[in-house]
Amino acid sequence: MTCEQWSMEFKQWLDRDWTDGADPSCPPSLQQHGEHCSRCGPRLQAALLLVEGKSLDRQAPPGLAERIVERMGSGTPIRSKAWLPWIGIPAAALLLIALGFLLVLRAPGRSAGETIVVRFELQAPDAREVSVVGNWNRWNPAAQKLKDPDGDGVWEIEIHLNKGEEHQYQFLIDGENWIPDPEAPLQVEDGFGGVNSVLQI
Amino acid sequence: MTEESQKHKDAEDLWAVQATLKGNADAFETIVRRYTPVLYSLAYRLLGEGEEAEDAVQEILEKAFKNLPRFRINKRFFPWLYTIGVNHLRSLERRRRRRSRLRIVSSEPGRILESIASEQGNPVEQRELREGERLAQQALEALRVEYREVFILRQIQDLSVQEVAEVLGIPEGTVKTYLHRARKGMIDFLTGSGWE
Repeated sequence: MTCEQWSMEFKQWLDRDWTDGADPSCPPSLQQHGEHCSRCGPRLQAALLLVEGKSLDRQAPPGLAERIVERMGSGTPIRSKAWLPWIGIPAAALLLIALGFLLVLRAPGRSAGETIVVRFELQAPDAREVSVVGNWNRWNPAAQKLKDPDGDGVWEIEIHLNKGEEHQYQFLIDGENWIPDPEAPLQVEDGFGGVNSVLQI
Repeated sequence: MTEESQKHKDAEDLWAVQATLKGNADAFETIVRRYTPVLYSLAYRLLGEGEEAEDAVQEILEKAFKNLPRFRINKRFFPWLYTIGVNHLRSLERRRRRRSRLRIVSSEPGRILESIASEQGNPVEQRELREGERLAQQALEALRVEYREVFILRQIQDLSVQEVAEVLGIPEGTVKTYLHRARKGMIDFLTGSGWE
């Protein structure tokens, strides 16, 4: 069998049904040529590994789990100390500390007991723009932008929200990076693979 | 794994999570030891780099540890952990791709065969096995990341279609579609014109 003939048969074999339970073994003629041909052999081996799948399971280096345990140390995860690794902002801005929201109940902010004022604060020193986007503003990114008047990296806004309702929200950084509030006590799936923070007041 | 042993494993996971949250300093170690091998395999196949995969496993487990208070105890732990893992690996992969565009050029199949041919002193079969795995990894890396994730989780790590859908947050039908496209992409890679 020439390499050209082998290639044609190889393609025919791979083009067959690969559904679960299919026989992963290849025709003897493919095997025989593949074993003796340095050009075709690696392709056959690669195909066999991919067809079988589990053979590509990669063993972890010895002692990796022990090294990780040692490096991690011990302790109890505490929500208030959570740091959110920030992955979308370049170099120096890799970390964002989310301080979360501060609920501020203020008498003047109440409207006959129907609304209360909620103060949102987010520390994002490298952000150019921060919005809080939630169901109360119909997820409009332009509706409620936070401000950082003193330039200390803490963005803030006060918003009147209806009392007795559940409010879902996320922060939007620079118009493209959505993050839930890591300090919020409740989170729900947002239907897009992420989570929304939940505020019940 | 049988359904019963899976349930037993899930129950052990939940015990470890609850114990960790209650302050049992050693409980999370159970999680680390149990999931380091599968997370490493996942990271290695998604990133294609052993050293980077090691660091990634630690970062994933640290992330899971810190986010443990947000884990809902009525859910299974391992899809939750896998979701954290996949999301973290996606971010690393994005950075890695930006860093290493030139590497893609140098991994053109024909050139690899030449380098195999130039090696001396290795038994042919061993060389082909090693190169076969390298090519399999290249075929994986040539896929769109969505297809690769599905292929790795379903075909290599043996998660069910339902579990893959849960981990990636996509419908089961999409998992099947991506799996089909992944296989087609790898066939195209291995039978492509670069080999003729």
